[in-house]
Amino acid sequence: MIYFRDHHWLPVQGYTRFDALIQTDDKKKDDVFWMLDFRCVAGGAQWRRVRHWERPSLWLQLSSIKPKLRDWRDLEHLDFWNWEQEEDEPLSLFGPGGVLNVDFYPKCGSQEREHSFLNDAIWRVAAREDGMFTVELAAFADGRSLFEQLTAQEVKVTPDGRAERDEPDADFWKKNAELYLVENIPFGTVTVRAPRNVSDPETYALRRARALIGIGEPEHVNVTDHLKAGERIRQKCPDNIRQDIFVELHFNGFYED
Amino acid sequence: MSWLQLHGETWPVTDDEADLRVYILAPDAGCPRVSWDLSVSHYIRPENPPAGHPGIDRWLDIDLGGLILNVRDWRQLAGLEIRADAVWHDTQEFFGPYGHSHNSPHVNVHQTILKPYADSAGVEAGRKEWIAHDFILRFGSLDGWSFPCELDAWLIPKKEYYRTTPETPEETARFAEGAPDFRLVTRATFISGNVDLTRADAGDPVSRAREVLREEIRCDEMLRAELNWMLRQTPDNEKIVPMPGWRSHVHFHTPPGNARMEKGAPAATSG
Repeated sequence: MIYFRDHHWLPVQGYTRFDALIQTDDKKKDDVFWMLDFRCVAGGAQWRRVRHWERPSLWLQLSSIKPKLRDWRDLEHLDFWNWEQEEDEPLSLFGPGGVLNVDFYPKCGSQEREHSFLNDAIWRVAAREDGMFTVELAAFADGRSLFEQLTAQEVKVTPDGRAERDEPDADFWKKNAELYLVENIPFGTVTVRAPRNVSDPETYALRRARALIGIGEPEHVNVTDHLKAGERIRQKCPDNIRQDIFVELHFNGFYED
Repeated sequence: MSWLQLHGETWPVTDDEADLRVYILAPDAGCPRVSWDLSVSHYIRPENPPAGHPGIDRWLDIDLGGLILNVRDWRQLAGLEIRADAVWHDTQEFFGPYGHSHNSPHVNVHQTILKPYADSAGVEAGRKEWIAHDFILRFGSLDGWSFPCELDAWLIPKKEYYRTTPETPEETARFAEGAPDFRLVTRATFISGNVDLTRADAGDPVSRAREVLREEIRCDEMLRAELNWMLRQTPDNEKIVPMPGWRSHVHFHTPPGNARMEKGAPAATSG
């Protein structure tokens, strides 16, 4: 479920996924660049006469996530639900939970957008079933004062001496966050940049992805060589893109066609 | 047999019948897996066409695709009635694999009138299209692979259908007001389908597709199974090529669909 403004939202499959990018010089698991993309459009019977690409839509991306993962399955342990602020600890723009980018297209048939109006997010993975992760996310224009209020709550001390504060429930986040969602998001795509001189980019990509994030068998593989692509595509690509071959390994069976 | 009425005009009865097709997505689709399409073309042919006549006066193509019917056995279509009001439409819309939108089902009616008939009947030649989201679909008792079928629909010209503002709550709440603009009575026959499979089933996709068909809609008949592997572009984007050993889909016919193929009728096409 997605709670944002007054719409009923339909998640857009394919675009909604965890992504990993493995660069040619990535050596350690920590070097892998992770992203979470989430896209949804307004739905419900009242929208049946409006084509989906002309409806209000919400695009959300958490990029530069820096998880400590043994392999991709460890995404299920991600927990950036850090509303309990330590004293004097500033909200970090580039924390391990990633950088939040939100675009909201509120008007039908218009490219008018509200951009990056949500600056703070807390999020976590609540569960995993095979390649699907249940993600909970709350985002705020400025979460600072809310987090301060929560942190000022009474602390309970457990029998073993740990200090705990009451965890606000989902209703609290639905009411107080600008955006709150609990959705199933698949482990989607791993993009591996392969140097031009490798003999088999696909095999190279599979080997690299196995070593760095422990992937299994992908459901689909797409290899793109921008240097060999048509002139129109070639012209749009900067040099640093053209110098490598891009191998996309798809694990959810979905890809943008 | 196909009987229909469009905007009050009763068309001549024809021998046409509706086709029912099933589409079963792979288990990782993340959306309802089983959907049904219903389509019929109603052709009016002149009795004694002169030489050079196209042999058809006019026709209607009617289709109603993407129905999520939630039946675990295809025979349960017997006696099923769908009243496509706003509550029903709310249950039918989602995004499917590859980010493709699955709009809530609409009745699409395409009318084509050819010039010779238009000249003789004093009507306008050409194509017209209507869309209906208010419709009532009823299936009768099972007869072999067929069901008697009735469809009532409240049409909106396609040119006026799509808009850039949502319906008001009052508009959404209205349903089936007045007499239907379109009524169809015909026989719908389950003729063919398509089963999507993951890479895990690449060892023997056709056998697995048979199992899936049995599991999902209790159908044991899969004739003329045709295996198609997932496609991809070559690295230079020049060609689209199949990927044997990867994901696949299996297209098949039921006995009536197979009989049509053997008679040389056009093959049913899959999406």
